[in-house]
Amino acid sequence: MSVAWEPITGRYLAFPFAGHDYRLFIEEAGQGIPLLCLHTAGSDSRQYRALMNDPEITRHYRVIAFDLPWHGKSSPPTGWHKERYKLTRDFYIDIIVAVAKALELDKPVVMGCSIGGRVVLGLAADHADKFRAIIGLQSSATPSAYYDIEWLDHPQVDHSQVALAAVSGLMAPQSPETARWETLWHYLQGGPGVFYGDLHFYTVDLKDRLHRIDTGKCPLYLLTG
Amino acid sequence: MLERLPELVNDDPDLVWRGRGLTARFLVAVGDDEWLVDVQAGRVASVAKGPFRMASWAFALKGTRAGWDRFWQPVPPPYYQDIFGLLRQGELRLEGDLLPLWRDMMYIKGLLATLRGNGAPA
Repeated sequence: MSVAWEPITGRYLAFPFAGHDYRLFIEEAGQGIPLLCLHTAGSDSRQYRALMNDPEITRHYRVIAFDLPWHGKSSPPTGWHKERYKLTRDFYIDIIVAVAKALELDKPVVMGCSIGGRVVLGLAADHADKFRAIIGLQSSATPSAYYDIEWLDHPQVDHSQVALAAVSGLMAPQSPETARWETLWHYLQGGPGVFYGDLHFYTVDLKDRLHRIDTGKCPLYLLTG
Repeated sequence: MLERLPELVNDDPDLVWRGRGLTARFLVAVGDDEWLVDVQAGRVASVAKGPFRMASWAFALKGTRAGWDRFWQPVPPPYYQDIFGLLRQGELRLEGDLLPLWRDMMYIKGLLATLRGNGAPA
């Protein structure tokens, strides 16, 4: 009997980092130039399912995506129930560099969307030597909030419904409906306070390092729509 | 016009189910024109058009006419496809007790979207 396996494989990685023993989920497909993909706030690596299922891409690229701690199938750190999650700038930048190193990726391309699109600006500033190209999707060094994100972690509101409401508002009506709702499901599955904690990353400064970006050292591509 | 909301919403069982937890009266302002919408367990019980001298409501969505006009186009332009886009563009203000609105934001978005291409106020 033949079954329709997708080319994507996922594995768990024991990952000591920043004083914790993290358990990270990593998935990949394809062969060739390593392409390390970073998911958005409040979601996980499943966002890259279409890229990993696209033979035109996987013919040339080894597409790899990992779930940040607290996201997807990666665990939060021990003692998570005693802390309020906030994604900090240095943790975010450092864990991407550490994952690329642990996987022994040979100067990967790194690509991120939303918070991932923002953090790659930090990688471009200070880690250009470790990547062969950097791609930012919806990058913004200095975004301004247009709604009060406290509602994403309000004790009297279902956090998943707020995430659904906020993220569905970012989707174009022309996008395929099935893809939109599948993507929204991933946000619905996010843990309480995680989307909110991710957005903390937007409140920390990146401007202090943008002047160090040298696209002569590593090309930086920004795809914004 | 918003007067069509009862038929548009109540004939949509998925939308009514989504809003089953909401019983509230809210105000929608389109420029200077105002409507009060009464929702009971996800069904639109009534819609009244202003002007009102003593309107009582839980929360209000007050938008510019230009903003709503774009929002209600069959295929709205970028940034006008959603009330979060209207907020971003400065075309919409939310007022009152926003807790019930945030609890049922997806329902309210769905309710307002039923007017798309359905004789929304021009």
